[in-house]
Amino acid sequence: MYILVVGGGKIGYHLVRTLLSEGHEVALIEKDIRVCEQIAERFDVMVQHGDGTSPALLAEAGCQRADVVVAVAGRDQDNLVVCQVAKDLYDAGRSKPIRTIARINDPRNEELFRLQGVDALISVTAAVANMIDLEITPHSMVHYLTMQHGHLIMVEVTLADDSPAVGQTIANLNLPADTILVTLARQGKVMLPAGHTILESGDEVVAITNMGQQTEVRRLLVGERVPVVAGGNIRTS
Amino acid sequence: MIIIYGCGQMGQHLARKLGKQELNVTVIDPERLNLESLGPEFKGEMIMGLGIDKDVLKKAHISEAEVFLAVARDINTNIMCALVAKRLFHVPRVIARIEDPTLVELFCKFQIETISPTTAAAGQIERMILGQKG
Repeated sequence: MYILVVGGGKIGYHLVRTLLSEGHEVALIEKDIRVCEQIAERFDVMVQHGDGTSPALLAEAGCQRADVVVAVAGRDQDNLVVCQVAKDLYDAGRSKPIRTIARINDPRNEELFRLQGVDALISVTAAVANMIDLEITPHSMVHYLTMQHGHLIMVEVTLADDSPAVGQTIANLNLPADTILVTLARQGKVMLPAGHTILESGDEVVAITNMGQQTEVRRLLVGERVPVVAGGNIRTS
Repeated sequence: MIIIYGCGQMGQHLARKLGKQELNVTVIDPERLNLESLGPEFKGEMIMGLGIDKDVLKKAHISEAEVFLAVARDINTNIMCALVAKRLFHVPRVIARIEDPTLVELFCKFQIETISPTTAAAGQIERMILGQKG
């Protein structure tokens, strides 16, 4: 495959190395000339110096024949423009559409990227924050696996005595729409949870939920503090 | 109501001009100094923050805005702000400062109007030199 990478930072660097070792044809666009030189010295890759959001430069780097365009620059707005240009300008007349992949830093930007048709998103911030959160919070939710490009996750919760779910039927929990309790383990036996099943302390519940709803699922099953969302916008005047 | 993102030279100029016409103007910029340079005569609202941040735009009451102007120096930020305003908040008129003619064409598709100061200035200079024809 011909893969065009925009952004030669830490992610871009390792991505280029991995893709080359897998035998792909790779080109990189990077705005810092020193980074360009370093990567060109180390890898057998076409390095283009300049602004990867420029339609002219993307064309020069062969965007029209790229199978995949990966935007892993540091700023979300740049990655969005790269994907948009690749998709909407250089996709014309191709039998197979260009697949676009973008890195997003602020998980709140995910909605817009999806709406604009970016095929896959890598949210480094959200992934790291989730992992740290799981490490910090004991007896909380265990993250088993990720499905559907990170959209769905499978989690497990062992219900403690103080869980708000204990003594309730599953129907009464009011789980979010995209959440399903898949299985329930009680005293070494596996049960299929039904709406009328009453949850008990010590139950191990496995659920599949939407990535965005894990906090709500945790609140219902574990019952803990609402996570602090970082703000930081000061209103003047 | 009009929201202006980017309080550089162009944003300030627009804010003062539109503010004088008794229009309800809100200005957003990440730099406090830029906002302060609007001076006391500017009576509109000022919000410090990034225009691509949905929470900042909500603070600016974007759902009530009739016009959103993205006129920062950073073109890609303008593009993303404009897309947020149009696609997520459905602001009726969204105008973005975009220089690259190819990008201008691309974002017309998303009902974003564009202004290119470079092209506009070049056109004006051309008319000055060649005389006003047509």
